[in-house]
Parts: sequence; C-alpha cells; structure tokens
Amino acid sequence: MEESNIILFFGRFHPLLVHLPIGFLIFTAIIEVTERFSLTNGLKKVVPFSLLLGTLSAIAASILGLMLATSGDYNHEALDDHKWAGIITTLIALIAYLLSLDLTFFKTVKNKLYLIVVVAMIGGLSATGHLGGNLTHGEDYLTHYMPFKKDVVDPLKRPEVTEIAQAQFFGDVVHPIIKAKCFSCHNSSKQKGQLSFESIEMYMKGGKHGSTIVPGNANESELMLRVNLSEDDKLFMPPKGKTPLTDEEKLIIEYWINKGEANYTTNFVTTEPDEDMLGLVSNYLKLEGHASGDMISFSNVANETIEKLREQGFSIRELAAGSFAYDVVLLTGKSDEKSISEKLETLQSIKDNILWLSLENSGLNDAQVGQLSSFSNLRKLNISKNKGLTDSGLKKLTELKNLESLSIYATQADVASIEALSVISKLKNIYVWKTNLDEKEIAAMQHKHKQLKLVSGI
Amino acid sequence: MSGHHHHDHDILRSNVHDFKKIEANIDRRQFLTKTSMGLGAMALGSLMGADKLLANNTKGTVKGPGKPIGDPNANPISGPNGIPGLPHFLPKAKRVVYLFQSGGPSQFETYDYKPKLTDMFGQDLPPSVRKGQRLTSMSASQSSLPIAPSKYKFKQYGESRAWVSELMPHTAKMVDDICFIKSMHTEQINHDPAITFFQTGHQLAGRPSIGAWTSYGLGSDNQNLPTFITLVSKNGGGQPLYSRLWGNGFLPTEHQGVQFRSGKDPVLFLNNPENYDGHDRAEMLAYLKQLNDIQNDAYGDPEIKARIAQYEMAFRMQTSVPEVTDMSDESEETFEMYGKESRDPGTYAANCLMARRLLEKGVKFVQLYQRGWDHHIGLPGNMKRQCEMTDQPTAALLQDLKQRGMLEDTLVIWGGEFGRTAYSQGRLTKEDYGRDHHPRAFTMWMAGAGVKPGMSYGETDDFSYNVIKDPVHVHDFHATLMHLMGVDHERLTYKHQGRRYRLTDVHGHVVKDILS
Repeated sequence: MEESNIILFFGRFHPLLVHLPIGFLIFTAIIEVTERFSLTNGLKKVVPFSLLLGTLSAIAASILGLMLATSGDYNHEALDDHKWAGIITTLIALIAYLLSLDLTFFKTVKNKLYLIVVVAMIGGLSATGHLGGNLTHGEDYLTHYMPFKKDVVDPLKRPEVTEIAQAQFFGDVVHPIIKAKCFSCHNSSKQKGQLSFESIEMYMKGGKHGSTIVPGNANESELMLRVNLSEDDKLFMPPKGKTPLTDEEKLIIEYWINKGEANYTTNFVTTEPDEDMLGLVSNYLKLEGHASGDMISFSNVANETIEKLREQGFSIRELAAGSFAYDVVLLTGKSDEKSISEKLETLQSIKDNILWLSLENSGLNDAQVGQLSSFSNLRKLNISKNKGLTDSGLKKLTELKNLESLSIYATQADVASIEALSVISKLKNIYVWKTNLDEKEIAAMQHKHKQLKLVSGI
Repeated sequence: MSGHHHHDHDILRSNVHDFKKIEANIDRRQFLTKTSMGLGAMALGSLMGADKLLANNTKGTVKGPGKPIGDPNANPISGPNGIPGLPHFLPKAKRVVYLFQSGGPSQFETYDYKPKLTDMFGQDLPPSVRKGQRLTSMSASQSSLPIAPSKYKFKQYGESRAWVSELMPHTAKMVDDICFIKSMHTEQINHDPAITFFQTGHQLAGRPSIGAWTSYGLGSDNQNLPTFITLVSKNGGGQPLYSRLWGNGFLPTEHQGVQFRSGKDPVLFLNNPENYDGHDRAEMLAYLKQLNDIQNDAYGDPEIKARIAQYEMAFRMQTSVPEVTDMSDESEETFEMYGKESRDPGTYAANCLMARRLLEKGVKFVQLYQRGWDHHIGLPGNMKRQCEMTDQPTAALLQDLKQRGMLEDTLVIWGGEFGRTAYSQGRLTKEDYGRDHHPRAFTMWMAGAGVKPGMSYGETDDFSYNVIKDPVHVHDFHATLMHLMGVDHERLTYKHQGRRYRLTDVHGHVVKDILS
C-alpha cells in the first residue's frame, strides 16, 4: 500500500485550477479591449470583480503548484522558471486589481500604468502557461508538428558503419554518444557553459573554463570528471532529468581520450583495442560478431508476465536493473500441478530475455528439453540432476549459439552429447560430473575439444 | 484491497472507550502534522528552494516501486528483489561464501613464501623495514624483534605455480582455481576493531555487515530461507565473535544474518511444542500481521515491517530448515571429501558442507567463521592444528562447488582480519615462536565467480612486512566484492542520522586486475 500524501494529493489539482485565473484574467483583458473600441457597453464595472477572482484563483493555483513541486518529479531549472513566472503573474494581477478599484491613492498613476499592467499580466500569463506546458509535456511538444520546421543538421554526421574496421573512433563512436547525451544543451544555439559539440573546432575549444578534453589523460579531462561525479553532485553531467552516460559509454570515451589520444580522425582499430573494448564498441555500433553479450538490448517485458511466471514456481531476477535480461530458476519442491512441459511453455513468453536458466532437479527429460532450443540468448544453462536426460535430448541444445556454460552433471549424458555440443562456438564450460562419461572418455573429449573445459569431480 | 483493509481495522479496534480516545488522539495528531503544519512548511520550503538544499537525488532513491511518494529523502524499501535500481550492472556472482579465519592467520606459514628470512633467523627486524609501525602492547616492550622464518616448507603447485606451505596440502591442489591477494592491508591492529572493520567497513560497531548490505540491496533468491546466514564453527577457541559482526546496523532488521547454531539443532524451536499440531499457526500469524499493520499505519516504524517479515520467515523456516540441515542425503564420498569431522555438526568441516547446501538452496550470503588463529605463542603447533582442521574442508568446498557447476557464479573468500609479524613475539627457537598482530601486509584469497583463477596479486617485501606492489585495502576488497555482485559500491547507500552511508564509506576502489 502506498502511503497517502496530502500535499501531493492537493498538489495534483494544480493543473485543473490553473485554468481559472487564465479564464478570469483573459476575460478581463477582452472586456478592456471591447470597451475601448466600443464593441460593448457597460461591462467595465465587471472588471474589478473579474480581476479579484482572477487574482484569488491565481494565488490558490500558485499554492497548489508549490505543493505539486514537492514531488521532485520535475526538472529543477524548468520548474524554477515556471514557478517564478507564475508568482510574478499573480502579483501583476493583484496590482491590476488594486488599480482597477479607482482608489484615490492610485489616481495619479492609474491611467498611465493600468494599460501597461494589463498587457504585462497577459504576457506573464502566456509565459507561465507555456513554461508549465513545457514542464509537463516536454520542450518540443508545441513545435513538434510545426510545418516548415528546420531540420537540425549535425555537420559531423557520417554514413553508417558496417564493419568495425571502417569505424572512425571519434566520428562514428564518440561523437554519437556525446550527441545523444550532451548535444541538447551543448550545441551552437544553446551553448550552456559556452560549450558546444557541434564541430571539431568547438570540441577542441572547450567551454568557459577552457579545454574539456586533455588528450591522453582522461583523469584530467573535465568532460570525464563531470560525467563520473556522483549523480547528486551539483556539477554532475548531464544534469538531473537527462539520461546519464552508461558505464560502457564512459569506458569508451575514457579509452578514446587515453589510448586514442583524443584524436579526431584515427580509426578505432588502429588504437589496438583489447577484446573487451572491441566488444563494447561493436555492441555500441550494433555490429555482429564482436558482441560481448553484456550489452545487447532486450525487449521490454510487462510486470504482469513476470508475476505470472513467478506463480508457476519460477524465481525470476533481473540481472541488471532496467536491462530486461533475466536469471530464471525453477524452484524445486514447489507443488507440481503442472508438468515441466507446460511450465516451459509459459516460459516461452520471455525466452529471448533469459540469460541464465536453471532447471536443476526439475524432472526435465529428453522430450521436453527440446523446448529450450529457441531460448537463443541463454548464456548459462543448468539442467543438472535430471536423470531423464540422455544424448538424444541434449543434442537438441546445439541451437543455443550464445551458450557459454552448461551444467549436465548427474544426467545420462554420454560422449555423443559432448561431440554434438562442441559445435557451439562460445561454449566454454560443461559440467559432466556423475554422467555416463567415465574418466577416460572425459580425458579423450577434453583432448579433442580444447576450446571446451569439461569439469568433473572426485 | 484498501476498503477491505480498513474494514479489518474496524473489527480489530477496541470497544473500550479509553482506547478509542487514544486512537482518536493519534489520528488527530497525525492529521495536524500531515496537513496544516505540513502545508505551510512545504509551500514555504518550495518557495525558498529548500527542496534543493535538502534534496537527496541519488540513483537509489529516484522514483520507483517501493518508495513512498513525495519524500525524496526516504530510503528505498527493500523488496524480495532488493531495492529498485539494483543490480547496477550484470553481476558475476550470484552468491558468496566468506570463510572468515578469525584471529589473524599467519601469512608466513600459509601462502606468503619468504625464503630470505631463513638466513636472517634471530636477527633484529631492521628499523628501515618497520618504519615506525606501531606495535601492540604485547610486543612493544620486547628488547628485540627477532626475525622468525617459517618452520614449514613451501612448494609450488598447479599450472599457476603458486607457493603453498606444507600445512595446506589440500588447498594446494586447488591453486589453479584460486586468486591469492598477498598485498592486503588494514588500519586496525587489534581484533575487535579489525574484524569489525572487515565485516562492516568501519572500526566501530554499528554499521551494517557486508551480508546485510547484500540482503538489503539485492534481496533473496529463496523466500523460504534467510538471505544471509552465519555459521560459527565450534572447537575454535580464541577471540570471541559477536552477533553485531553479522548485524544489520541501521538497515531494517530483516537483513541481519541469521546465525545457525553449531550443534545438532542449528535453529532452535522449529518443532511445534507438545500438544500443539500447528494447524492454525498460519491463521494466527495472519491476525498478528493485521495487528502489526495497524501499528505500522499509525507509526510507520520500519521495525514493525521487519517484525512481520521475520514472523513469516520463521514460519517458512519450520519446513525449509529441517530440509536443508538434514545431511542424510549426502553421499559417503562427500563426507570423505570434507573430512571425517564433517559428520560432527558445528565443526568447520560440517559447516563448509552446510554452506554448500545453503548456497545450493539459493541463500545469497553465507558467512562462516573459524576461530583460533591468534597465535602469539606456540605458533608452529597451533598453526598445524588449525590448518589440519580447515585445509581439507576448505579445499573440499571449492571442489564441491566446482564439480556442481556452482563455482562460476559463487564467490568464495578466505581470510582473517589482519596478518602477523615477521618477528617473534616472545622466545624464538627453531621449533617454536609466536607472532604478533600485523595490519600492514597479509594474504587473503578469493575464488570463483568473476575472479581470475590461478593468480597471485600484489607483493610484499622480503619480510612480508610492507606491501611493495598493488596494495589492496579492506575498502578495496569490499568494493570488489560488491562489484562482483553487480553493485556499484558508491551507489548503494542508506540515509541514517542525516547522512548517506555506504559499505565503503568514502573510500574503496574495485581491484580490476583480478577480475576475469
């Protein structure tokens, strides 16, 4: 049960209530216009009352707005702008109201001032409304479908890379990362902190504190320092509300600065990257062949799907928060109303999202194990302690191209299983303790398939 | 749900006039704090930008399930899968077993081979080596600090050619699965602060232990057993251990380690009392939960939630614990592998076997303790006895995890709270000597999930007195452990007494060189 929060409960009436002052104040302005041009007659005496209602409802809307702001869900800068615009508009409305009362105190200034105040009030109202809309819907909401919109051209844009050897380190790897995460504030039109990433010259120029990138020294580079700060640090980049750089992206940029000497023209491969970096960059460029596995993206899975599977007796853990990659364990000892076959059928719904799977001691047999052959992203599979598994079933697993570790300990696996499974190029470990393979056979298989490690026991 | 909920409360509310009055008081007080006072303060606070001053915008506390709305300062609530936002990245280790060797085992007689000391037998430790290092009061008053070479011989083993003393013949066979860290150092020179530092990241008591942090951050893999279990081996003797070493500190209580007793009955009172068959216990607990929920609604004390969770866990443990502690399904060969003591519940050997069984069942963190490594006098004899007691079961646990395919996602850790001195405390003879506490250099090892196998990391000088290459501080060890579990140690925090704490305080670097 979520805790109740009276502040936020009322705060959420803010979007409703703001329309009252908008209505009253614009209504007042319309009266002033129509009276001035004699389109109407005698409405002038409504003006003070209308301004009073407008002012009071503006005060109420401001208070509710401040309450809503306590949720912390909004971008601080945008919120500040909207907040102060709202408060100023409210004050202007109050001044307009006081002026409209014909108080003797104001008499002398009234005629000159009143018109200005009403115009300012409408201006303030529009600004506040616009800022509020941006806050809720995002900055490009209004202009998104605007006709004849100018395309933002990235002068550094390059044609798509199809092979890692072609990839220019800066243009194809580093700049796209920066563009995705930093460009919205650091471009030639916005230039926050006088920093822009729109051209190589601008990259080299840096921001108002000078150079942000020190070739060969990521630790001295302002850019790296800022993205590596703790996220609640005031200086952390990108600021709150924007998507931070992932660890992988940071590693890539750090590597570019250190090993790539922050060079803007060299090819990535000429920096002689190691396996890990090759994998990271390949993954980033979405190139096959070098995928290190940790970074492939997975399609979203609904919470309800996961909950349903849990009810079936599966323990499901997201391997990294937000990754939609799962570690699934079928808990044994749970009452088995449904056969393993039916359970695996339901598991199909997230089959591409499962990286680690354990069906240890689940009663899995040769007929059912074939159901796993479409779980194409499996890295680690544990089907140990299933006495019903023999060569004929285990051979069906050769489709699992991404498999790195397979535990078939305490099954009926024999030499034929190992022969068949050895075609999986990524497979490193097979646990074969207490199978039908004897010590000699294991040694022979180990000798024949050197890329595999057959782990047995005492 | 909530309508039904309130209905239950009405049933459970007392008819007694006085009680009703008290309830009404609480409600009014809450109403007042939550509304009138709150309104003004919040509005003003927002206007003055106080929300920014007080803001707590760490990753773990951004909006997500389990976080009460509107209180950005609240700690996220840990659910069955830990707190929202964790793990931060793909983990290597699913579980951890930490074989804590309490007392400070000597590195000289185990893994840090120092051949040059043989020729320096009885010579005074050069001041250039000691560099003014403080000594304990036990050896500070000695007239000399005579160098004591190891009485035991060393040999190289495995493909990794790791040096291991003759006291550890079984572990020697597993060196190709082990990553030795010879450059550990700590800040504490006495047992209590040193062991507290190792287990909680701080020398003073009161911080959560490693296992508690893990439980809070990552949750459980088996709802029927505690996430964090502690096994204290019997027959150890020596320095005492205390439950705060596996305590939850300021984290909610359900994250503290559950200690299994070292005896035949690891958890007491699991059986129903005489003349009670337990058929309505679930019902009783359901009512108790309702009562506790009412208290929780009124006061919101997290300890009430913890109590509810603990009652339910205890109920489930009535079935799960007898199952996991009944070793009758272990084969003869298994007992043989762990050594004959493994049949005697509560010994280190039996606990190693128990640890494997718990890990198999999805317990995330098993903290095992062996006492009796504090050898100020009679070190050669005592080391021999301790090693005989622990070497075979330790190696067996590694082998057993390996053959079951579990070593690749289980992190195994071996080590004590500090090392021992190169010089003898008390009289030195070829056959007998003692060693005092030494925090500046000692050896630990890790094996399994995500750690490079067959590796030796870091180096000490010829006296194993100072680290000369790749030092690893206790904070670094914690950071690395967390990293292997998929946790960025800088981002798992808990706000307490106005400050966000973490296991590594404001220190710690992941030792990347030992990661596979």
